[in-house]
Amino acid sequence: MSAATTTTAASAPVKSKALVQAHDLAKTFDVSAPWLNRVIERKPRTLLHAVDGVSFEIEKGKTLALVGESGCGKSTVARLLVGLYEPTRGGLTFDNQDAHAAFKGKDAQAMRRRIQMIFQDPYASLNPRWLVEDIIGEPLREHGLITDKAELKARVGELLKSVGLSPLDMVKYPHQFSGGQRQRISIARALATEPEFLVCDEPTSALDVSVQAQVLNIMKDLQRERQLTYLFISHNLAVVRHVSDQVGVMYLGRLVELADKHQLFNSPRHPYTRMLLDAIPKMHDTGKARTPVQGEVPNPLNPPPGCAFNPRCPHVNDRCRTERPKLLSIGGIRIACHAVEEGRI
Amino acid sequence: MADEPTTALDVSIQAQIITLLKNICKSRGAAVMLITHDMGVIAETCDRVAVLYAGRVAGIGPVHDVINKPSHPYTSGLMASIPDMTMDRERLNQIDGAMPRLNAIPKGCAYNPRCPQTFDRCMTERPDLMPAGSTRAACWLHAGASTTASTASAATKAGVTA
Repeated sequence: MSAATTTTAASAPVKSKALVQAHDLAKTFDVSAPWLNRVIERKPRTLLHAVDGVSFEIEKGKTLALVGESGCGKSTVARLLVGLYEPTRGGLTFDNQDAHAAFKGKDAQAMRRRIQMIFQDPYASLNPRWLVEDIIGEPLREHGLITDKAELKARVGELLKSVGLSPLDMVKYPHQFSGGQRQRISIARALATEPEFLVCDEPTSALDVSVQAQVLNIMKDLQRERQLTYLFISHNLAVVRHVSDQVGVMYLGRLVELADKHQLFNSPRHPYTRMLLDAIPKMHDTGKARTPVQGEVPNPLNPPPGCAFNPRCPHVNDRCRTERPKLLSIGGIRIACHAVEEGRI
Repeated sequence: MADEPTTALDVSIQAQIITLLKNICKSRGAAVMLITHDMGVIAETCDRVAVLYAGRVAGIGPVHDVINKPSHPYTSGLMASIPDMTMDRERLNQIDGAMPRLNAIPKGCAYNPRCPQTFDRCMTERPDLMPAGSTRAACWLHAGASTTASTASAATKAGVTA
């Protein structure tokens, strides 16, 4: 830990101060039919561009939220960031090091220790046959941080306490806990190696509101205490507004808008962001129908030419149908939209 | 009967499903029982809402009144824990503790270990639904309050007796 911090301090002033920098991240999956079918039916290879050129920075101690409809590539970005997938193009710079090179090299362990992930479903992400003690202790043993048994127990107890559980809980199995408690166990496991960057893939979407509030409060407290950096993925915009500093809106594998949270929620620029915000049910206007989102996300195997959002966009013109907009800095935010660039909206 | 029809969906698909559900109801005159923990969906779709706690109805009433002036402490706790789109808060209000195990529901009111407004009666006697303003709540805070008494006056009254 101390070695890591000294390198940060030494190199940080020279280069960018962002802890996490994703540049042009892309992931393509080969979803072709089996080889024999392709030969017989003369089908070409089919490629799915799950993430197609996503770039962002996150400063230390800050939270970037990624939002977007299901299937837009949010979780793929998360998996790329923690090294579960290798990018097809682009890369990730973590603390001025190429993270994906480090994942493959001899420093793999060290890099993985610093980047951890909280998974979406606390019912599926904990091994039902393991005691909580083993679940939380595994990263510590795996990284060789603690080898002594008694010391390990003490550390697991500490971690449980830090997420509001009791050290006595370590001799229980996951099924003895409620959804919120299980998610806290996942958080404790993610925190075990004292990471600096946590990738949270919809950490509260399986939880009900009162438990969600508990988990979000714990996450915020931990961020304050330990200067943690979060990438927070969610489709619940109210939660995103609560936890994040910056928000990136994704559509079909690309970022369409990236802005400070207040700017994004108060004056959304991209037509897709506006559509998403209009679709949120308002709690205090009972019985009022919201503006439903028109259309559906197009098939990512066969995205429309030009701007991917053009079939659903109310401000579409010919340029949108043919030319793919780039992510440009306009008025303090980053946005990929011809209409905004041309000043039409 | 719709059991969490939109829980795993994002807002845009959720809006489509809700619209569909509403249209079906209108065209066929069907009644719907919607089970969800998304208060936004409830506010938008329902006429009446019942809040369940540990196997019993804690509060029931017209959706507008339950959301805006909750009469059961559990309902108010639930409402306060929802992140708001219009307000900035450093911390969300949380209801401390967890649901009791269903084979070990506490004596008296099931919510008493987590309730900020408990008094003696809550510990010993289990409340039934009683009128609380325009809604009904299973909470001793509303005991003795007449059907027309507002939530606020009922609360103060209970405070005095406690």
